[in-house]
Amino acid sequence: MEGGLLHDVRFWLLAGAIVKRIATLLATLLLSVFAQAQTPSIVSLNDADTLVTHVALPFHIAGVTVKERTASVQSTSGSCKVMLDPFYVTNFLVKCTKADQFSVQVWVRSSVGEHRINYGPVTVALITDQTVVTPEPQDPRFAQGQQLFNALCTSCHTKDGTQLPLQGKTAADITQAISTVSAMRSISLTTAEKDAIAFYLGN
Amino acid sequence: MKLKNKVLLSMISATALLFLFQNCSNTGFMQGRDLASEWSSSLDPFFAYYYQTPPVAYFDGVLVIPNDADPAARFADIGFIGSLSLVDGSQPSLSYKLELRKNDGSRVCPQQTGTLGTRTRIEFDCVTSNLQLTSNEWLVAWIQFTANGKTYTLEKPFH
Repeated sequence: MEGGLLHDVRFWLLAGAIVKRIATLLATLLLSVFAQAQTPSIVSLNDADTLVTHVALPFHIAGVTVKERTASVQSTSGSCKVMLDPFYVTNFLVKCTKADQFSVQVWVRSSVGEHRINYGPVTVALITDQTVVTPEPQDPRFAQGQQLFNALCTSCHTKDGTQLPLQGKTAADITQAISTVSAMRSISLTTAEKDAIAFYLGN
Repeated sequence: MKLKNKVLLSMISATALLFLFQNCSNTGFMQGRDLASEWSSSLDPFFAYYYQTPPVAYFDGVLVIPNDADPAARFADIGFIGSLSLVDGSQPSLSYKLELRKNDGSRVCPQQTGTLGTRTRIEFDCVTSNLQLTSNEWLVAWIQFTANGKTYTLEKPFH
């Protein structure tokens, strides 16, 4: 009776081990095939005609389900920078300020493993051959800070320093002023708003 | 072998199989909080990334203003060179309306309409009538476009 049960247990343990081994092999094979089918590639979202200086050039990582990525850029003139899109894990942007040629190295962790992708070289043309002034768009905090400053501060202060100069004031200075200067106690600002005003004053 | 043992062994086998595929789950995807922290750390004034919410399309460009010595004539003819492309890489035909406005919303030159296909570049020549900007005014490139049956608006400020 006991010998029969022991035999059964041995049989099933052996059968289980064999099933597990086969399943492991099958899973490895499937993942390997899946990984080969999922090869990441980089796609420029702009057409070649748009690869010009001063305009951010968006790129998209296609072919895999991206979990994480990093990117670095190398350019001939050193005028190009890369930025990961904070909203889309599949996207990044490159911007150059001079006529340049750049290459991007991207590391991607996807559901099927890690990948290193080299993209380029990409030639970036000067936006125009005319002598021009190209106003650089600024940080969104500038507009917000300017709006708040004009609404709340201009009755006593001017940005240029002709009246109660504020240049170089930080968000912490603004916090302190609100708590200590009686004329300012009615002002209520969030940390981000104080930061925006400080950014406006510093730019 | 008893039925109980068979059930037990089947459960063990099923659990082992499940463990084999545990790395295939999507738990590694970046969640909203991770993206938000990356947003604050990756913002670079160099890029002037002005989107506060996930954009449907990337709209970027520069104003090309003649380096004129006469301030009154400086904004007489403003060029805009930029691009509009969907964030997911699909490139359906995009119909757009482009305007150059002051920050108070007033239009400074006639609206341009167009359609983008595989070409993503937009060029706009804006001839103004005696435009002058005070220190509290700046220009805004305003674009409205239709993609996948919906209409979207993006604004890019130039201070």
